[in-house]
Amino acid sequence: MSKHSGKTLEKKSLQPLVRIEDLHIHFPLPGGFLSRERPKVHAVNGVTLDIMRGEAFCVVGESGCGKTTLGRVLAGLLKPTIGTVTYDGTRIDNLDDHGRRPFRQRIQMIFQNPYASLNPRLTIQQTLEEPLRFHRPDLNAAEITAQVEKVMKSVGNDPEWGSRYPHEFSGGQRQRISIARALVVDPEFIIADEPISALDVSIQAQVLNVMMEARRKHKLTYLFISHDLSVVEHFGDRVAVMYLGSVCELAETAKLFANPQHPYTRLLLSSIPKMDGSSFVHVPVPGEVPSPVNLPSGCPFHERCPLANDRCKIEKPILKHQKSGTTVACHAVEEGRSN
Amino acid sequence: MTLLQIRNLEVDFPTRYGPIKVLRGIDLDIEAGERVGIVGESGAGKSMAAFAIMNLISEPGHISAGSVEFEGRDLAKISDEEMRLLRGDRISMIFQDPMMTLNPVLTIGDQMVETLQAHRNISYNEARDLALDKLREVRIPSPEARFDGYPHELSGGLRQRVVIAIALLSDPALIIADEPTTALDVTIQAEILALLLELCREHGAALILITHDLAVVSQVTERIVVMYAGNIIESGSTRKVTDTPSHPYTMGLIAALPEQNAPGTPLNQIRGAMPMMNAVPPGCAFSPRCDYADKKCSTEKPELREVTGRLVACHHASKLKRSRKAGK
Repeated sequence: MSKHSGKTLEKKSLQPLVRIEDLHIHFPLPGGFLSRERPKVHAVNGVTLDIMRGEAFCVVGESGCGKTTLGRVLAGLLKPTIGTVTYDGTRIDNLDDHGRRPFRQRIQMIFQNPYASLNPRLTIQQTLEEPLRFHRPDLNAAEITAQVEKVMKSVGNDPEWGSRYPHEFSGGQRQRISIARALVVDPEFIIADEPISALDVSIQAQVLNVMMEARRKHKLTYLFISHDLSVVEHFGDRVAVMYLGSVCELAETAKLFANPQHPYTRLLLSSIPKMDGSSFVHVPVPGEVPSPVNLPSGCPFHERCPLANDRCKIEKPILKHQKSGTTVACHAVEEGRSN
Repeated sequence: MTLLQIRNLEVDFPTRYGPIKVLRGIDLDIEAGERVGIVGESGAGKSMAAFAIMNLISEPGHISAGSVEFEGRDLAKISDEEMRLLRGDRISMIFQDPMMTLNPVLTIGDQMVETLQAHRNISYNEARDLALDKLREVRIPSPEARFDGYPHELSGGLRQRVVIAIALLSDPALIIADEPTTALDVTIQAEILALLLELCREHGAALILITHDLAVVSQVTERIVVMYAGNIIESGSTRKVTDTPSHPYTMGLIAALPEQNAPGTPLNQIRGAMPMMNAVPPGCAFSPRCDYADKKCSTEKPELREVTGRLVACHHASKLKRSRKAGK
């Protein structure tokens, strides 16, 4: 499915559905009373990317890389510090609540923890009807019931469950209810933030299948945020690897996994535990992810990078198109020092 | 030499509606120096097995039947005081969340010295030297400075290294690690697993690695035990179990992994979910979700039997020749 849609994505003929330009998000920290500048967390630092209509765009990275913050800005839950977000030709990052309203129906979100994201005091029926009543005042009661039933069936849930409460369901069932809640208003774009991380392996497969099926049926565009590379490899058309608030590599999923370019991408891929009986060889990389409060100068990865030189310490690399068809932000790759 | 011998171990939690069995009779042998993985989904009873070995099951739960023989003693029967001396000395445990297991108001050094002095009659300075050795062994940068630091000053990966250092302090014969890398990022996970593997080999310690992640287990352990609804349903060498799983549940679990399916295709899935422990189906607990189940499966509980060089609890195991590869 993804291979097929990957081919039909002709970049020139298609307008991007979402365009993010030079996005920065900073969170001020308490303190710094006497100094001129308050300390702040640099969660996202200059991300520019396009999400095409109909694609499953994945963002991967470790905790603190800014992937969730990026998703929350697109969902309108945070305002960017600098930069713009354009959705289907309209700038949406600076809209007030009223102006944002039509986009809240077109953009829906699925959260990581289905135990926390469903209101425990609402029955499933109420949970699913609420967004419809709000976004579709033109529908009458019978139409609302019919739509809820249709969506419940499409995610593999029994519509009879409507009168029950979230605590009566298992994690997988709840996550399917969350998906149903997102789908019930007929959105175009779904932001899924670690939607299967809280679930057991056998249940992960069920939920991923529901999401892929929904994509086909509703012609959805996904922003899929995950730390699990094998899920991304399976689900995504294109993938952006984030490190410390910057995108360090962006490529078609198959290309990225077959031939990772950025040293950080290589580190990530070599860290995935494998079941093929290969002996455990891990190439350690010194240090851990630095604090996003005091960003390193130059390339965010240079302190840990085996290929770093003086240029990497000073100049931040920007995403550049490579001959191999991927986009990489790395001086070493650009200068041909990476192999 | 058999280090740990578990026989017919059952754990009950009494409730208003009668006891709920969360471990329903498990048998498990661990040899000295052997690395064994216990795999299963939430509620399978894998952590409960670890807590039963450590005699740490929280009230009102208790071991209701069976024995846990460790170095010749039945841990289910010895006194609390004897057990306390054994924990952290001959058996150590590593938990999932290092922030929860380290004491936030004690320095790392104090926690290590305390552990050592609880088991041995040694001076502070001797204990300090030993503790610093262990911190070096788990490759904590500038151990002297960390010794006087607090857990919150460390990142998650370093904290888990400290926990491993504490677990190794008294050269235990058995280390039980319960989801030691689940809270960590994938690059840190790889480092911690490599460290754990190296240290177990070096010290000749046996390892029980409890995890839901088959890939993690297959890189660190020699043997895999798969649990489902309080029972062991398959047990054998890591290679055999991951290459040719023989219980329908193990097959399904492996077939459901994204890397076992072509990108973009629907994943093989196991229908339904693990039963609640108060409503385990009669017969084979997996039968309502199983594609191969027949009448016998819903009435008669299958015992672990040897099938092609490993133990499988399935009435149809010898007939099921479908290997992981054929299942693709």
